[in-house]
Amino acid sequence: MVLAVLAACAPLYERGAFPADAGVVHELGCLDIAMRGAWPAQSVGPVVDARFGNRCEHAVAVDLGALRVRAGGELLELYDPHREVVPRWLPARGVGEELLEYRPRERSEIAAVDVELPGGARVHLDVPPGDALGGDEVVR
Amino acid sequence: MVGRDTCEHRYGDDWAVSRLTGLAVGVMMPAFVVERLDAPAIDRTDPVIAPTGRTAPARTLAIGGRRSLTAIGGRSGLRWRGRHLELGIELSAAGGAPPPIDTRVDGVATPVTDDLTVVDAGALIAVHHRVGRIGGALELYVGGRSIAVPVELPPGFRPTITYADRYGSAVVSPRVRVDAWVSRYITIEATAGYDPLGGGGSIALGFAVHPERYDGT
Repeated sequence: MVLAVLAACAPLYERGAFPADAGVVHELGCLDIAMRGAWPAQSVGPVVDARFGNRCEHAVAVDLGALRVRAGGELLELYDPHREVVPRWLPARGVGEELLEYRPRERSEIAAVDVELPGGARVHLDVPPGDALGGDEVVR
Repeated sequence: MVGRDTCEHRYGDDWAVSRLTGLAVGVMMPAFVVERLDAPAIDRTDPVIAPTGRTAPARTLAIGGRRSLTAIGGRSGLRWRGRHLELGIELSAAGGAPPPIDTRVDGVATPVTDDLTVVDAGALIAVHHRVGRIGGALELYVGGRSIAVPVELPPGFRPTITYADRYGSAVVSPRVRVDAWVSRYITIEATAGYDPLGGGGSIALGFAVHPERYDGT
């Protein structure tokens, strides 16, 4: 019962709930996803800050590993040394956020990336250097 | 950020459905249950102690042909739900008027007037699915049943320590359950089961609390 009460306090996602600077919201079925880019000083490559919310009353699969991120035509590799980024289920009306770092094969100057979503939609993101993302999460 | 070793945060920790998904807990009030079952074939003889101190045989015997009875009580348990598979354990206890029984000692017959008690304990496996606020499940319950038959002796007689009045049997019951989600965390559940070994079946009405929204479905 205590668990249920605590769970009931978890936020419910509604359309338009993302902050204004979260980026343009794209719809993938029940899933809303908004992204913005940055290149924090601590990271080797550009970072995509992905926020996502489930508008439906059932769980939906979230597969951030399916995002394809390119810079100048080069496909960047998701930095995922522990192979954590696997499809997971977002509960009904759930909301989440993940910071994903993408690394080029060779260190190079990247000012923007293009993110291809499942379904083919493309999002162009600037990746300004030095932008702080996610508080202590960017501390190595 | 994904991959950062110093972060306690792991991918999905804050938002994903638990990999173990829902543990539905029947709490607070057990489900109300009505069971229809056959009483065991009651005909046994056990020693009792007569007022004089000597030991006498007491024969407890069901009278007539009626064996089926209705028992009313409660049922509770724990269930773990995956996205479609469900496992659970259950305990139920119910009481009901037995068929006519009396205990005969030294030619004196004393009718049994108390209810007999039926206690079931077992486990279930089920598949479930939800559409909107209504869910359904097909369950297979397997367990054991203990039926305690009341013993009423003529005045002055008392049972010995070996006096036995319990009957055990197996229960294998396919069931159908309908869940109505009254909120994202609470269901009202109605279950109907068929009990071919026990000679009847059961219906139950209760509610369950789910720590995860719709059990992650």
